[in-house]
Amino acid sequence: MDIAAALKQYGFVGSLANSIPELKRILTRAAAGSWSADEFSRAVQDSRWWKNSADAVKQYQILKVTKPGEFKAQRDALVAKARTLAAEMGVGLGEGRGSALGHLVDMAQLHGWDEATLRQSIGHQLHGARATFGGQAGEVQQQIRALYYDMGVPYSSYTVNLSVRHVLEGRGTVAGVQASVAAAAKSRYPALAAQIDAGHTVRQVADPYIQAKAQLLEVAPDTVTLQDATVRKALTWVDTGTGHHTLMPLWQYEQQVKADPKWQRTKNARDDYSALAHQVGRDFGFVT
Amino acid sequence: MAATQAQQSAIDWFRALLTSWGIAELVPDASKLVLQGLGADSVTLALQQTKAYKKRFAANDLRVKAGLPALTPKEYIDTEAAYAQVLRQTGMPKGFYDSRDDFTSLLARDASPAELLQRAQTAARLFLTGPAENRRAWFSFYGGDGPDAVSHGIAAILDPGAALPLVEQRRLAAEVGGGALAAGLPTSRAQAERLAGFGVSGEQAVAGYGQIARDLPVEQQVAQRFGETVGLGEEESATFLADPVARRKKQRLAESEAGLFDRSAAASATALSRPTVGQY
Repeated sequence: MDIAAALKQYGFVGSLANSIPELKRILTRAAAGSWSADEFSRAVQDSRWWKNSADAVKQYQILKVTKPGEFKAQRDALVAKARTLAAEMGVGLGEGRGSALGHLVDMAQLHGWDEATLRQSIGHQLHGARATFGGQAGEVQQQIRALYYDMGVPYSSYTVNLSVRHVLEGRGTVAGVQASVAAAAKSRYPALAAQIDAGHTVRQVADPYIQAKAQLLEVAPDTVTLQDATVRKALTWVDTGTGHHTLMPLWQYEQQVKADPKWQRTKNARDDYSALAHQVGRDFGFVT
Repeated sequence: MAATQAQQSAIDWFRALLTSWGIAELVPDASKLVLQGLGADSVTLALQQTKAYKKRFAANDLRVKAGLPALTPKEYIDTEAAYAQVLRQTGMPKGFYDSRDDFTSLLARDASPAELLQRAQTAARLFLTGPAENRRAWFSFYGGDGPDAVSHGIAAILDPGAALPLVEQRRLAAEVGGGALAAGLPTSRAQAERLAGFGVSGEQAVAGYGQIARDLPVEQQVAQRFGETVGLGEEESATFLADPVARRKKQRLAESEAGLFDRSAAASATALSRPTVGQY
């Protein structure tokens, strides 16, 4: 019996065997020995391929060989789904040969991935240490950046984007990132530990200091950040009397802000000096 | 540190104000404090700790040590101005007892301008406008010699360290003594202070000692005739204090003297009208 006759005799298993080297060798031996269909089937089931391949992989290969039309339709559907998910998640997968999209769809079809696994794998394709993402990745990126910003914890784009990738991969959550940023904030601002534990952000606690500086220097409040040296000093102040970390008294903080040469150029400064002379005049009894 | 525009205008403003308040010497320190960026309360406190402030308002430390409240700069300066006005008003020579150091002493002792006025009037009455005999009596009683004697005398009266009632008593004593000297009579600090203590005024002393100067030589001759003595002290007691013993003595001597004249007259008349020979 030649191979062509064997393929006819052994049906779709024979066709499958023709595409897998180990099975092809069995097919060759079966044709030479004029094995019955049962003998051929048993030999295939005893093969390493059969024993070591997952059912999904075997079905994938069977479908690919036996129902190429259905196989293609299934793949096209997966491509569409992967594209949609990638767009939602803000992950660029590329197109065409050698693209991440093709690879992911192959893997998804081969291993019969569910949507969660597909999402996770798409998330893994998020690259770019400094990139600004779109879609869900962009939202998560924004959230994580805001966490760092509001907690006054310095961050790099790499750290943020890595966290975004972990969240998209399902290996982490925004809440988890929040907890670790809060821990870093407590270490950076020991005086604020209780307030951070109570759910306040460092930015909220620092707001009076930010507003005071903005008013004194006559600048927009959003230009004064938690990384501002004077604000940071106010939040990490140590009371020399008790030796404890605490918030700097606002009056003392205002004095420090006024030590900034920029303050001298403000209308506030002129008003302050005018009030100063008035106060001294009153203290000296010359002004009532 | 170079001043910013705002700081410089604050310094200029301070200079103008402090100068107008009469305390321009505080400008350098005030400027430094402005440059340090101190707030209003801090500037006042810091300014009060400067050497210039402590020197300018030197009496305040002395007042506080003496349990008196410190004066504000305005109160201090106003009081100094009132002192100066009092001294001018009473004719004290310019530059005399009107330095800041002199005022420091007055302020440290909480002397009011009214008290200074009283002292200055006393000093003027005694040393500038009153009779020279009064000054001589003062110098004799309380010391004073040479060209600065008047200055020292005035200073002694203005000195708030000397209690005002004591100063007044000395002035009265000097006027009583001056009254004696004016009448050409000797005087002593003890007697003059005693008479002043009894309320004898300068005018009464002038009148009284004038009378004593007229009476004393006659009464001393009369007393001598009767083997007695009369002294200035008895005359002063009788004249100024209405001392009954002294007055009775004066009266008795006068009557004795009058009786002597009556008897003389009677004797003369009898000699002329009655025979004196062979009647006994």
